[in-house]
Amino acid sequence: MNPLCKPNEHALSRRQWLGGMGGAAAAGALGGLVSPAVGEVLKQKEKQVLFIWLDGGMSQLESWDPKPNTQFGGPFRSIPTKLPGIHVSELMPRMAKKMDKICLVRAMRTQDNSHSAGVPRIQRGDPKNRGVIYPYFGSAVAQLMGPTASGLPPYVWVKPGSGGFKPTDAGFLGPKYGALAFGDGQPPPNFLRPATLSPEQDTARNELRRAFNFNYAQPRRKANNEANTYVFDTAEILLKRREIFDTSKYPQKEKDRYGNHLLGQHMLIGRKLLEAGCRFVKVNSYGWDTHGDHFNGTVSLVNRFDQAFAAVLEDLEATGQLDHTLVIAMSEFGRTPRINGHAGRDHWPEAWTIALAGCGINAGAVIGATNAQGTFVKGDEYDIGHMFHTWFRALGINPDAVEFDNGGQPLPIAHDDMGVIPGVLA
Amino acid sequence: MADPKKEPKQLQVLESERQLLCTRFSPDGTHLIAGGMDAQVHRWHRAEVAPEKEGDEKKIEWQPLPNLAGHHAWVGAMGFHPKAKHIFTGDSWGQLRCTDYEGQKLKVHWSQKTAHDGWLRQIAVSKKHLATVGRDGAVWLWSHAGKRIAEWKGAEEIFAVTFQPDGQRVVFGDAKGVVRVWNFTTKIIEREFTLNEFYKLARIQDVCGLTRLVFLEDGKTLLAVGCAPTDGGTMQGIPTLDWLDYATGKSTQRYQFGVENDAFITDVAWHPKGYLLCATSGVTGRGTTFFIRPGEKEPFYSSTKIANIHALALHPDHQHFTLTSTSRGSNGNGRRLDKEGNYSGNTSPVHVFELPA
Repeated sequence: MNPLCKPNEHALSRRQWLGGMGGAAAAGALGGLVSPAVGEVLKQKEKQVLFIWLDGGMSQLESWDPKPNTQFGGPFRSIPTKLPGIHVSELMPRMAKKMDKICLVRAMRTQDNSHSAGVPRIQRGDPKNRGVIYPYFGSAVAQLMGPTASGLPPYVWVKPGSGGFKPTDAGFLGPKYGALAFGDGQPPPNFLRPATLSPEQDTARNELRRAFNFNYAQPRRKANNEANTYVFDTAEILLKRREIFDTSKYPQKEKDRYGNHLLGQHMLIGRKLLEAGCRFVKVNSYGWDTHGDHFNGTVSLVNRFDQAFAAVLEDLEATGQLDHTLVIAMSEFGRTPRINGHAGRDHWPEAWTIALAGCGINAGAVIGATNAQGTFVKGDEYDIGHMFHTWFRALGINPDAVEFDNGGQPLPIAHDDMGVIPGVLA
Repeated sequence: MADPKKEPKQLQVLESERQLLCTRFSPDGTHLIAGGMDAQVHRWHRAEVAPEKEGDEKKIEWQPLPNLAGHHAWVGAMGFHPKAKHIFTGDSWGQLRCTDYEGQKLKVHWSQKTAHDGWLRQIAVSKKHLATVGRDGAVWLWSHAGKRIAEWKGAEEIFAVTFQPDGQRVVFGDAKGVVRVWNFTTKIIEREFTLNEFYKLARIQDVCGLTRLVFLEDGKTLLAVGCAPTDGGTMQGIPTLDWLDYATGKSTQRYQFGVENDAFITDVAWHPKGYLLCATSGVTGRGTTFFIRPGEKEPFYSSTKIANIHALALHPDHQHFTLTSTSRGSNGNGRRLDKEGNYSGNTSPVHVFELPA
């Protein structure tokens, strides 16, 4: 076997590698702030985010905002929660007991009812159109806050299916702030040193790779080379924590508690990545687009989410980590009250719910409401721009003062006509 | 393709204000009963209407009667008392009720508010007993008077139930396609067999395909009805009929109809002339009615005129049947208001047909 890498596998400079290794120093990471209160940002270093993304659209009616025995309420009962007067669907028995730990915003009204446009629009915060592509929330946090002192990749994504580096999440911030995705909860297949390669050979190979990379990078676009370097460097640090991905060594009891299913196991890996020090961990579940056989499908979907979500909250709380971790559970929209002919619910951005917990969040609050039929928001409506303001504030970032720097163009980090959702922050 | 010579004749469309889940004719043929998403039991009765022109034959019409209230959630399970004019109905909050179905003042004979912990999926009736199954993974045996007699409980949600033709065993099928034969006297599961094609784990979703278990007239053939799921989310699968040798649980014939978008055979009825009437509901806008004889490779009749059929009922005269469908244009993302600016729900037209002579 040839111990040398293929040229297209990397692009690296020693200077940048050192910069990456010194991620805690964060000079590069904070470089994009136009008006940063750098001292303040540094203080926020250890704040983290767990972003649980239920792709396709979870039904608010079969989860956080049930309307039992109404025209569109569906077949399920609602159950009381730890909060007097607040009910959730019977499919969420575990979270019902933890309602004092979370905050629900039941008055979300967003703008897009398609997946293709809605997913990026929501995850980019749907700011005013300024002709640029905004970063996903994970990329924004990675850029604004940088890696934690662990030096681990600041934006990682545990997901079913393929993995790899996802630079497009970063928008105008540049590929460096993309997501490092662990497909099927595993590191990239070539991540580990092959058994046939001795440590000495590996070191020699890396030295050679760096030298080649330095030369390769000189005439090429800086942003892309930086991204390659940054990812490689941070991944190399992660390599030292590769036991995170070996779920066979996790105690069976722990695995059972999260659930022996994809979301449960990925949530558990997500928690380990948070514990290891990743700044922003996205845990993804697919298959929530229940246009057909919705009610039968929802039984297992919501129940498994309930199990995994309750377990991760319990553990984050037990370790004290919940105090400095912002937890977000959401989809790109909710689902229609109207039930279609395939016993399904379609896409519904008009009135849906987002669940929050952790640092800066007013635990036990239920903000906003839908009408009796669950069709529309009653009272104040909130868009994703409001939510971005709220999230940034929870992380200690003032969205009215901090801006992105898009090559000299200052850009607000959240929709400039919106603000924090009242009552959500502690 | 439908053969025009064998095309059933549509006689009437019964309107409902809400969506319906199950529909059956009373054993005496005088009433058509449907369970709805509005927690109501809907009723129509058979009426003879004077002919429009002198000399014409009297016309039969199904006319609406007041609904039965008392449930609090979706009424999707139904069965008739074998002798009295009573109906057993079950809802998705677990309530089981026995009421009159004939007349204006309807007596509630008994009700069990928590017959099951949650969704009561199906009811089967024998000469002596009643069996119910539900989301709680339980099977209950009841007397016709509403007394609990025996229970079996497993881990999975149970979707389908029927009695062995002699009434001595309850046969039921769960979310994973496991069919069990329960001797309720000894309280022992005597046999079980797994119909793998009726279940799929799609990502984190259990996609469950079994809708009905039906004994054919010979009592030796158990028909498993539903869908061989291929994906979750916007659920897809192929409508499937599996003829099982009841003695061994082995499939003797499997018939799959249509494509993945066609999804479920939602309901069937056995016609004494030796064929099955079947109805399907797939992705919105898709649905087929087809008639097939055991042993034959293709239906001798099929029609896609009516979509998203959730119930099929054969009249005791074996000459009429109904298809309970879903209103047209039932799906759509986002805000869609009616002419008056209201956000309205879908409905379930009930189509009444006459079979060709």
